[in-house]
Amino acid sequence: MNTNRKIVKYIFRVLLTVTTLLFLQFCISPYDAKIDPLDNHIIVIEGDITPNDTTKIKISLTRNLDQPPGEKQDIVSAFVWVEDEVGNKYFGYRTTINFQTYYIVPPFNYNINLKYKLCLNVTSNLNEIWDGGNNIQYTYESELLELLVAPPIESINYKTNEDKSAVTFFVNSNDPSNNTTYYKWSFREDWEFKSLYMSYFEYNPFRKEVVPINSYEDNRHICWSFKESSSILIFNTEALSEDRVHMLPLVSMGKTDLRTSYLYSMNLKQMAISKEAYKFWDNLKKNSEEIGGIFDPQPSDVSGNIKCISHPGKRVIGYISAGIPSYKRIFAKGKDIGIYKHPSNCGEMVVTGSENPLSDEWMYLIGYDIIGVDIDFNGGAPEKYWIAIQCVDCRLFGTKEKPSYWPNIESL
Amino acid sequence: MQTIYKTLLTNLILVLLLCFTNIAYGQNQSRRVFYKGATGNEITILTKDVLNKEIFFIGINHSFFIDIDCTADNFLEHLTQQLEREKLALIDLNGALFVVDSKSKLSDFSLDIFAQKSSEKKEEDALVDVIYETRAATSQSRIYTIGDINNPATTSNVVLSGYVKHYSTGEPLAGVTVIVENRSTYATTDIYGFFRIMVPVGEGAIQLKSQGLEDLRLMLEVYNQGKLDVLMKEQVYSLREIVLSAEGTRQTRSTQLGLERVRINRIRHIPSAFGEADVLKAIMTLPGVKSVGEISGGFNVRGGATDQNLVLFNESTIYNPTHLFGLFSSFNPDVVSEVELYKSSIPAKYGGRISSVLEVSSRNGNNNKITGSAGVGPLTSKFHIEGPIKKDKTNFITAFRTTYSDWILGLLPEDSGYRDGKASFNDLSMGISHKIDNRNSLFLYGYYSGDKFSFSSDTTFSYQNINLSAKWRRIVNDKHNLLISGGYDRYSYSNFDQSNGINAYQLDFNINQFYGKANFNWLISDNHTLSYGANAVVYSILPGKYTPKGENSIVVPKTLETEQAIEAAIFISDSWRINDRLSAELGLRYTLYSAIGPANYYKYFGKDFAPEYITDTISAKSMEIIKPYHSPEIRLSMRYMITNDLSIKAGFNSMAQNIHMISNTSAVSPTDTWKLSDANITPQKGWQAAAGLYQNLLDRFEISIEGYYKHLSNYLDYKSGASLIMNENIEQDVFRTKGKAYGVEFMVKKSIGRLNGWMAYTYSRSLLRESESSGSSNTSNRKWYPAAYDKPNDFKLIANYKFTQRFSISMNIDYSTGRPITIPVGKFNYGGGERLIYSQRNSYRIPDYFRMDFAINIEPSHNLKLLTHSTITIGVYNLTGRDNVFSIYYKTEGIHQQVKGYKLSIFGTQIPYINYNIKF
Repeated sequence: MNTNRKIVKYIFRVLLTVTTLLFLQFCISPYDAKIDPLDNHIIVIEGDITPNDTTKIKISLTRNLDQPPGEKQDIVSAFVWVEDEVGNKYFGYRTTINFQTYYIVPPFNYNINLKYKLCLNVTSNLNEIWDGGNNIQYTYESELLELLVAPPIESINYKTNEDKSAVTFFVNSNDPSNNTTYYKWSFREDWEFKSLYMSYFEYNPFRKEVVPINSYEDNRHICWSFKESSSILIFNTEALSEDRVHMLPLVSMGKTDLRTSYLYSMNLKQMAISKEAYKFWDNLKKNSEEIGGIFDPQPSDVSGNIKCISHPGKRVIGYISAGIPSYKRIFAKGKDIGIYKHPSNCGEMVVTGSENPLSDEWMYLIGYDIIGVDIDFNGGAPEKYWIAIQCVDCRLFGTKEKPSYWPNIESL
Repeated sequence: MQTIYKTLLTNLILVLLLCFTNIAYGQNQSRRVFYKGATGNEITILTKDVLNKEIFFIGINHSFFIDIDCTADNFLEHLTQQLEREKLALIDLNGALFVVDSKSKLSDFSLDIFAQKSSEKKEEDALVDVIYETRAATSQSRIYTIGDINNPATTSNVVLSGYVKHYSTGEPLAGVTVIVENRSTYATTDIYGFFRIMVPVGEGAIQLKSQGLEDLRLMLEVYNQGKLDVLMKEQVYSLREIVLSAEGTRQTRSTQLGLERVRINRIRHIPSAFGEADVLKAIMTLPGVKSVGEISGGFNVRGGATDQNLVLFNESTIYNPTHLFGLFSSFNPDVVSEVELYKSSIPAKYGGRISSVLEVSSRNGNNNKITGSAGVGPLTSKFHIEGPIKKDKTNFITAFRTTYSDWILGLLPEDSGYRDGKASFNDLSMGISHKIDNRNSLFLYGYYSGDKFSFSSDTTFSYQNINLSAKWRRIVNDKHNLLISGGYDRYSYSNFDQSNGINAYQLDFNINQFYGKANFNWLISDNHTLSYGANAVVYSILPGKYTPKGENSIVVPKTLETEQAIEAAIFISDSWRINDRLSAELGLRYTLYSAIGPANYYKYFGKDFAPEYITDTISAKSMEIIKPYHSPEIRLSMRYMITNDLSIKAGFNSMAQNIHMISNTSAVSPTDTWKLSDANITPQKGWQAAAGLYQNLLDRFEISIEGYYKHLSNYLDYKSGASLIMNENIEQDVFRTKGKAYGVEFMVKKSIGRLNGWMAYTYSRSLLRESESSGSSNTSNRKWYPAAYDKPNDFKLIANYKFTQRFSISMNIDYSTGRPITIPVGKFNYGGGERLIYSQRNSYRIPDYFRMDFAINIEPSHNLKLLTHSTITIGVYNLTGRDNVFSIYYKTEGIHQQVKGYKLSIFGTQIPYINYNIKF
């Protein structure tokens, strides 16, 4: 039940309202508590057993709060497999995706009537700080899990708010058999976008000169980018007469968000989860959202359904679910969404040439890039047109790697 | 205004009188009465003839002759005038006429009347009548005779009782100390202004003292038991005079420990955030009282939880005494007379909560005339009116307060996001007191407070208190009186959310209780006063009702089973004066409680309430006793006077509580769920041992040091990830904790003089631990962890300096250790984002709290000719502008998902205010 959480939020808003209306200084400022570093790093195991798809497991360690985001602490020395209740094992292999280590169990033939569990062996080594590095082998196992089949996703749609300053994507779903009750979603977004200016030239910082772009494929005008969802998206229909999810918000974007500019796609994964799994995620969500206010719930412990069987009592975090997820992909055109406004951060166009003899290198160093060259056929120095690089080079916000499935916008 | 009312009233009374006279004496209208040189005897005959009334001459030693020449209808008036010339006074007592020597001692004649009237009336009754109706004692230079000179007492001590009332308003004065001179005997008036004290036979004197009132010394000549009503005047602050005060004396002499009493006058002078005199905020300036944050509804007394305080307003239990989630208390200061907080010794007549009793008493209406007041502040406006309905019989008081924040919200800029919001609250108090006769009085009270918030048209949250009570007070005889009260209390909240049509819902919760109380008071002898009685409460809680809102909603209507319970208690306590130095208060209370059917509940194996341990499902029939709990409670305290100004006290109190508030937030939030003890949830128990030393210094300072140790058990905490709303089996989501709290409170108080106020330092700890018996493993691994309100060092200063009677300045200083919090100490990546790991519960603290407030009070002059009197308060809250941390929270943000800490200060700067109140 989300009610309590909701009410608590209202209360907080009331306080804000009341204090605001009294013209009080209501101030929020950064706060740095002196936090003792963790003496014990806890192992964190994440992933869902999805036999019809690849099962992707991530094993990492908890980190100190001030640890930079780049420093991931993935465990790279694990051995992972999925086991069913009759003892069949499906082994996983280690791989690296976007600089992160994952253990992949490829799709396997499953029996919907069997229960499955995730198992792993982790050997500590001296580089890992979670056990003092004693070269000990730890074995973890999740509980045996039933494969829960998710119903198909009914629809994904979006709505802009009244003043067209933001758009929110929603999911609608339902289970006519009333079996699901607890839903979890995650998604991957891809989007195609364009820089404000298309240039047939580029500055080559190695050769320190402006060169023409010879192939259309090399343009810096059209790029793609992607993102995995980072919010915990769950819902339960316990209190409803139908197993139905109506307009559950997934993600919101503002009007200068590139995702809303040209072509956006979302591939939504829906899983049916157990009540316990729901509780785990709900708890995690509560603990991670704004917490600490006197009207906020006190944070509580998270653990999960995975246990260290070789060393009982050793703490581990993670809730493994098993099931057959359903997927749905949508595309949304920027012009249909209709909220995109370029942030107009291009600045003034600068012309170099005979009248303004600034060097190309200098222009590049102060953050400009070339958008055009006007050659003087009388033999004078060419006039070069420069503008802020973020308005020319789309690669600053994405890559030239087009997703394999990416359609032509006209075909949609 | 005043004169208008006066004129109106006088006219009204005149008209009534005329009508009355016409009906009764119509036939005598033109008759002339003429008699020259009438003696007493002749006047008696004349009066019988003209008015058909008896007239009695009492205690008149000199002979007189008066001339009468008038008509029959102005006979009485004429007679009065003529008697006055002879220095005689004519008094009309319920139709019986008395002539007395206007110089004579007022109470002298009281018993002579009976010689003549006893055939009609019982002696005692008449005694009560006469004393009550005559002008009450107020003169220091007169000797008041108590008892019948012809019937002297055979014992050496007799009972003196009476009422202490305000000189000009006739309002009963509570908390006035009555001291027998040269003895250690003292008494305190109750909220009806009633006192009863043993006085020695013979010549003597009593002193009456109270804060803000002029001290009074009355000389007595005591023959036998009797009554004496006293009128006390407000203290007029003279710059030279040092006025003796009573507050100090009381603390040193009373047997009770940890009793704090604050009068509304004092509360008015305590600067507060919005200039609104605030009862609860004033309570928090006392040692041993803490709260989680600056804005928080509840308060914690000596390490107790917020739900362990019994908040009584005229006998009614107020479950949520705050507006705007704790910004204001919901008691209108215009009707409050005083506040009493029992922190340690809790009289046996109170029960049901294990930490403290806060008793807020409202005033009775003015007995003499219609008066009222109106006030405006930055957030609220209020109005109150009071006065007699029937003079000296029935009076009323009513007050209303409301906010105009909706209007202010409308002024906010459109993009603030709050413009569509609405926040409103109001409260209404009503009181009627009626004197049935001289022995019986009836009081009726009504109270309502409500808050409503909405942020857009589709979400609303509201909560309300409704309380109704009636009290009957009877003086059975000289040594015995009783108080019977009954009433109905309700607290409810509801909210709805229609932002998503399919999921739109409304949630309702309410607590209802009916109660009856009978308290008897019996002055057995000089050394024993017995107080005994019985209470009963019937509880009914609707833990939650979840219903669809709107046509599209597919929410399944769900109503949790209503919980019912009955609680019955009997108590007895004796105030025992062992000798002049040693006295004790011995109290026993026995409570029998049970949840009653209909109810369906689970039976568990062992004490671990988890679904896998369910052994049976039980259905209790209607009115079936589900599980009775017996709670014997002990209330003991003792005082020993080392010298007249130095005393030592010790006490032990045990208590039980059958209703629990289950909350997963640090502060009281209106959505907190209340739960009755039932088959699985056992009552909370607590005991406290305390001792203290009290010293009066130079009659001006009272110094006290009090230490305590407190133990609590079965206090409910929630399990990780528990959902407390609409939870059918809440026992599965909570676990029991034990609590211990200890501390020492040091206080210097100066109640009188130009500079007055108090200074208090407290060192205290309050810790909780999961009970061994509960099977859940939670945050703290059964180690002691600090409660959310554990603030070890606490310093408070409340000062008021009077330049003149009208002009004073006030200052507050409040310092305390920051409250404990649980903060993230680590992070991990999960579900695509950074998630947090938390420290042991409450193992970190927010920065220390410091605040200083200042106010200038300009009070009305006491010039009675003015029609209205206005009070202006100008102040600054948080004078130093320190940005005290209200809360600390952590957010994951940015593309790198960084976890950042933020602190939030609500009153991060100076907050000036001005309040204007007008009295008429």
